[in-house]
Amino acid sequence: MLLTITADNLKSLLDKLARDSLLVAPVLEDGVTRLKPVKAASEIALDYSNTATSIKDFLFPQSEDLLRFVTDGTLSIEEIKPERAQVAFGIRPCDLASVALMDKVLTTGEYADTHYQARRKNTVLIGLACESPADTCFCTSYGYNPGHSAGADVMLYKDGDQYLAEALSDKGREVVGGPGEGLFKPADEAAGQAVKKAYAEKEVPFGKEVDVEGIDQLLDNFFDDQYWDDVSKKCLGCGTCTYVCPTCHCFLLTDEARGGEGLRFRCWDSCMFANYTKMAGGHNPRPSKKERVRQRFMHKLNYYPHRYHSYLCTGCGRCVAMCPVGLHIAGVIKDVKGVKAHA
Amino acid sequence: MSATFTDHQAALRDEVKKLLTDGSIKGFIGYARGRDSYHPVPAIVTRPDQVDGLILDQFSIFGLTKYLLDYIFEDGKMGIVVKGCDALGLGRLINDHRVDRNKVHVVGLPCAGVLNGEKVAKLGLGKVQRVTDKGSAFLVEGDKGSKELPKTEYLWDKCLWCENHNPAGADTLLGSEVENVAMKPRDFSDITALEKMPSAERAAFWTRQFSRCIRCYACRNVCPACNCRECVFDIADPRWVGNTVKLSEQQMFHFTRAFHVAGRCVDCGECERVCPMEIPLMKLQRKLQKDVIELFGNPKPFVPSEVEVLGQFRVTEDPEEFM
Amino acid sequence: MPENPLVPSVATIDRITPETAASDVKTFQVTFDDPAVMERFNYMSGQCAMLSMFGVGESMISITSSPTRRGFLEFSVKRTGRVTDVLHEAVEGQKIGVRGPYGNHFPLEMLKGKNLVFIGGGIGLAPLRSLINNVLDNRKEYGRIDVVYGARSPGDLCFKYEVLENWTKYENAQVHVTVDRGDETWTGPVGFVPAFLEQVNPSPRDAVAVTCGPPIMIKLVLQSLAKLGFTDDQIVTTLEMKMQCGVGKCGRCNVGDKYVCIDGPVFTLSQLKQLPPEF
Repeated sequence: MLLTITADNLKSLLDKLARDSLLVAPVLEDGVTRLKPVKAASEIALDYSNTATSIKDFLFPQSEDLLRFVTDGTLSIEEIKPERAQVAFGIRPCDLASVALMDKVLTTGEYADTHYQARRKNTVLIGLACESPADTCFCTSYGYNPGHSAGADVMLYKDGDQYLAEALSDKGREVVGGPGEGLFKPADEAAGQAVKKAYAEKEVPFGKEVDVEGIDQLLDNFFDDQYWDDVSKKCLGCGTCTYVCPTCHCFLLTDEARGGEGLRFRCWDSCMFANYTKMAGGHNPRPSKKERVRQRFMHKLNYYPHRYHSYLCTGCGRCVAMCPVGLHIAGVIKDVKGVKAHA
Repeated sequence: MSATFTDHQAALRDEVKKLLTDGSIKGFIGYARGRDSYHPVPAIVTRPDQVDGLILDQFSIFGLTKYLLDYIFEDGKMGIVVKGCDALGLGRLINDHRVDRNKVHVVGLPCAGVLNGEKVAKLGLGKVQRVTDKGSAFLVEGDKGSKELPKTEYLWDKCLWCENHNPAGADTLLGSEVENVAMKPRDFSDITALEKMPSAERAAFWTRQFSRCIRCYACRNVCPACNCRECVFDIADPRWVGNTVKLSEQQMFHFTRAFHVAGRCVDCGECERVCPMEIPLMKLQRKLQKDVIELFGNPKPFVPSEVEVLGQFRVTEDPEEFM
Repeated sequence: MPENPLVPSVATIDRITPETAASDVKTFQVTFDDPAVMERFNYMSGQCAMLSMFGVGESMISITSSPTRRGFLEFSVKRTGRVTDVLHEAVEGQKIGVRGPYGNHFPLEMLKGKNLVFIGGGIGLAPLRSLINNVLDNRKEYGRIDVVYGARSPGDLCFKYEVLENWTKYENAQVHVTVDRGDETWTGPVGFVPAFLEQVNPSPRDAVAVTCGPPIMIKLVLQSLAKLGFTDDQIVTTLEMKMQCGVGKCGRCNVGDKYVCIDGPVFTLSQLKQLPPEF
């Protein structure tokens, strides 16, 4: 059922959510809009195409405690479990889509990442459709769109001075019927569908430039191409692309101990770092920028699709905007297609 | 009206083609078009057929010198295009004995200031067709509109107080040298303001900045003064800074880096420019510059010299007793 | 039993056996403190486990004991890095963390009824030892067995009791040992494993070769096996990559679209040839 909520009522809802649980929302600070815990709706920035960092920060935090240990003569291990419930507001369609891609890695197969699973279970995602996609956005290249709502518990679409709303899951219905009680009104179904359609069909200019179709297969026989040598030379070897990416999920485990007790953490790692694959004996199967750059793009556009049958990218455009040297996935897709077309 | 960078693009391509073809260099480090006309990106070409991808335009800000470290263990020369500010970065790498000047062919690009692509992109001028130097302004003509942009507003800050418009010691110079005067004096007023802040307020300011850090190390990787063979932050044993992302580790990283390049920073501002979280890293460096100027009487701590302020120790001049 | 697969269980080192003269390889016999965890730790030859030295980190180590011999686990570890350094300092009775078992295993079904050639170099014999003891404990199910083993020097040979005495006592089983460099006590063959393998000259007929060792040895052994007439489907080997999670999530151990921690470490040569050469 489609609903509407006024901007003022949405503020009231967000204030309630901030009071009753942990609310994460876009905040503008020193010129950067990013997701942060907020205490009140008044802290939230609504004028953003997308946040600098993604919902990944709160479902799969950059570092999190896994266990506590004591090693004074004996050994005891205490598992640490993420318990805190949270609501994330203002999540864009590309980031909602990224959650499904992360789910495939972290919750399927023989082993589940129980920390991620717990956070997923305890997080309500409130999506916000895109009014004005940035010139680096290309979600449509992957078949998503500015109104794509899959993954949201509640989806909001700005419609004039109010919002069209739809609860898409039990968690979402609990928000609408619980803290949201009395704040939503039923929407005119036809008008609401028209709003959704307008968002779904909204133009994403950069998306038109990036044709992803068939890139997974083109890369099947591209491992040895000279292209990787050429393109990787400009890589700075920093972790920007991997850390701002909503789908990059590589991590390392690390201990910090003092006086017989300590913590084991899980921290993000980056395939762009030289030490990432370096083994204890010194051998490194990916010794130079060429192998590392190739790995990142092959993973997103070929290896992951082989395993999980979709691309590991949602076209959020963060790497397009933030890679200091313009070595981003949209460019690689265009380049590979160009190389193949001339081959 | 003086020449713009674009006026030198054809000459640069000719030069690089010649150098690659006659084997005097094995590769050239320059610029290529980025995602739009406001964000040129580094490009490293090794074959003559790639040279037509090289561009030069008035947005070519990226300091390329750090790439030279990728080639120090290989035979042969690399070519590189450097502006005045970039020449200081090159000087840093040479003075630190990390780059052998004889293995670099330097193509110098005299520079009257680089347009801040981030600012200009927001004006909605569309794809840039032409940039003309009008003296105190650049006229930017795009396919969606044109605008005369005063240099004092649209150049990168560092260009305004730049006193190194002409790259020193280039092997080839594109065009002729430009008048070498700063548009305004070096301005430390923001640093003075920070110094005057009550310490709790100042701590809050920096806490806010460093808590944004994602530890991507882009600042370190682009910095010509961060040229250690193995960075302390990459050493696993002992691990000086933990991998966990928390304020204390972030601060440890940034303060260590700041102090390690103190007196060696060439003021290129690249760390701050490439930071994806827009942390004002140059405020740390400029505070240290200001201190070096005031404490050591060195008016230009950012110009690499044989004798660095913090790179020497004379026991006879040390007022303190031996520890 | 921890709910999180990344959280190890507490285990005790019951026995430490130095394998080499320089003690740079030691075998650690380990049991879980919780008998239920021990009972549930069902593994196959070729699988690995993650050993935790708390405060330092974890290291993925192949299980060298045979699943046919229950009640304990054995890990033979060469001192090569931070974690293994600390493990080598451990004493009997010390507690460590263990999680696993991880990865695929040697294809026992494929080996049944076949003549088997095991080719190991140095500490690379550790995973093969699990398989060899497994096979010997079910001796009737397999054909002729040849173990070809080499190390840098006589002092670097591991599992000497089994290699030089125990294994040779089985029917239709032969052990061929070489060293790169001999010493005054060594009367056996001297030479590198690949050339030695060619001298031993095992027949590829109804045979499967399983090899494990340093990368350069594996590379040359594969060439020698090809010379001897073994096809890619008759050759089984293992890959080694840096690992952190062991459960196919953390990303770094992939070769192409395969994760060595869950899809490996055991591959036939024909499977390996389908992967990009990045290991």
